[in-house]
Amino acid sequence: MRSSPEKNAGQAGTLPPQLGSESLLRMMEHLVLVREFELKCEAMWKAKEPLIGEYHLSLGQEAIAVGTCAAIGPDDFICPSIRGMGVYLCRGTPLQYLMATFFDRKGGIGAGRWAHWHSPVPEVGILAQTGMLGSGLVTSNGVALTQQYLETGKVVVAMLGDGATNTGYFHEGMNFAAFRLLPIVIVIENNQMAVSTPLNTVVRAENLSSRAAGYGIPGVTIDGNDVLAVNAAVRQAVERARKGDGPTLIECKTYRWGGSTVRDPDLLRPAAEKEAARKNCPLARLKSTLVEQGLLSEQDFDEMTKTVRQRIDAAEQHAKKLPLLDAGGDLLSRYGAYAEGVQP
Amino acid sequence: MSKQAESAAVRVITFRQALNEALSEEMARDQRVIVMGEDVGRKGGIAGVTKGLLDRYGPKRVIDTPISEMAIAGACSGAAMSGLRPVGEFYYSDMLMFMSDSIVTSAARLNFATGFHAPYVLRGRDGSKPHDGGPHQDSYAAWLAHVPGLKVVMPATPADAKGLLVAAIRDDNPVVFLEQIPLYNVEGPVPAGEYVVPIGKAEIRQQGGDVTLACIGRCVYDALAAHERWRPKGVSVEVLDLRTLRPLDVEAIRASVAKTGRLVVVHEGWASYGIGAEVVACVSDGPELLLRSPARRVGTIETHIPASPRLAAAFLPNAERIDAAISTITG
Repeated sequence: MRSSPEKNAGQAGTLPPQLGSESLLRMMEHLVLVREFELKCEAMWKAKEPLIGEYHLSLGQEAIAVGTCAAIGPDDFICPSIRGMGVYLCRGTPLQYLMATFFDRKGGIGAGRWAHWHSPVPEVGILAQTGMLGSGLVTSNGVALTQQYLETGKVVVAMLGDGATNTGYFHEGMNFAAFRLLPIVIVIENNQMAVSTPLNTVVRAENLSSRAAGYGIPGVTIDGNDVLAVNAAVRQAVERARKGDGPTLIECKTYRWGGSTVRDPDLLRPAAEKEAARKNCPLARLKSTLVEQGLLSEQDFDEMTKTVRQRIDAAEQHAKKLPLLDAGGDLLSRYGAYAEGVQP
Repeated sequence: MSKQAESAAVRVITFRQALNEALSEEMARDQRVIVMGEDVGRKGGIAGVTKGLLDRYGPKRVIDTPISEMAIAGACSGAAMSGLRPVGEFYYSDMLMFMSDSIVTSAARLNFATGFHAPYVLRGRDGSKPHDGGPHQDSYAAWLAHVPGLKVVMPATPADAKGLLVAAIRDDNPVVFLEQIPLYNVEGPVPAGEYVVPIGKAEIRQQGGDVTLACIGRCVYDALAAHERWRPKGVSVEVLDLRTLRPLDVEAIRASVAKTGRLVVVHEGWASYGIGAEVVACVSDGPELLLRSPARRVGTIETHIPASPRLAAAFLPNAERIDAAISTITG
């Protein structure tokens, strides 16, 4: 399962036999959706539209969310990483919910009460993560414990950035998942940078998957820009978890194209390195595979992109017409009372 | 209380047994209730509270965990938000410092932000260890009671230990349940079978007309002793057991102070920004002026509790300091 990111860069892969053309085209469409949605968001934030919060773009690493989400069922659970918009999109969160949240409007996810890049969406099985990196893993363990106890057959995927693997949460959470053989899959999106700090300046291990051995569970390092490799690795781990054989650690190596957040000027990484990374585009790679196999034409792809853009624009226009969130009324009367000396 | 003890359904048992009974009866009643923590299974818990549960309910429901407080709190949070009613145990309330991110950021915020609930209980030993010395003597109740979305409970009697723990397990919010170490062997009448004490209601343990001693946990016994000491001197002390820190029973506190006009708050934990400060504030916030003398707080002396039991006794709330507070406002 081990493969080198460099070796595969820019090349078309072979298709896994178990995936039908429908699954492959859905992954293609999801890659386009995440790409186009985030390009739109990047443009909106850079245009200084009145948007709330930060945005941790996943441009360049979309294959991890897309491949992972395509490997689990609609009733399974997933806890995204902090760079997790791809998960929200692939799980089918309505685009206008997301847009409404950005514009501080009613009807968004989290209702203005939980940052959009962390918010749980229970309707589509997205678990809450918080800004406290690594905490998503220990909370996901609890959700996995419920599935194990109630024998639901459902699994949980916890996604973490490489930075979060250096927290105490990670160590406690990995060992907890392992000793209890929880039905959980841990997916690391290793984009090799924690804000401005390169991973290899703060971690001695070459592959983060080597940590799995310390917990007595399988760990693999894969090419995170190969959506089919991600999908295959997560499928295998999910199968293992469903059988009751416990967790697997999957490290997906990738590279984020932009700064840590949309407002980060990202001046510390060499321009040549960033330029080279863009040539290893996860979207272009699946596209060329599908074209080569005769499953997709250039015209199909253009049509797909056009439709996705129309959906995104429609969601944006819809969200901008929604009423703004109201800080008075219900919210204050329910929660502000105690400070006034009245027990709520 | 003695009257209750005569009834057939009420036995005299220890605080520890009352907690064990609450857990066992709730596990029998509700399959969703599970217990996890360090040494809760084979050992029966560091304080003996979970004794027998592993034999009765098996390893799927009684989970011996590694020493991983962050993972325990997180697992409780995740299990709770996905449909179980977990009860996590911590060794000492110092360990709540490890757990507090998960409690505050993942659990307490959940209902406000999403409308979904994380109904779990984290329970364990809190506060001073008389005669024992060493670290692990702190009470961080006030830190947690600061947080909206949490409930913080600290029973003083065996009956409350049972009734409040049952209420905590059935509550839809995360609850931190603090068991003060000197209380485990206290005996008292406890109803057998279904018994629930509502969270958020204070209880008058002794009626009095001159001074309200608002107190919680083991300090309730210090306040009862103060009631006895001051009665011959013609000062009638009302002992108000707060029982719950969040939500605080503001109505009961005000009603008592409306009667006495004087207030002393007795609690473990430092007085600065502490339980006493909150109780005094809820009285002085109005609407009416209720106090006719300055209010007093008796907490742990504002430094770290010494290891020596003899030194520690001087630093914790004690008879001498309670009497000094009462005399300054009744003299």
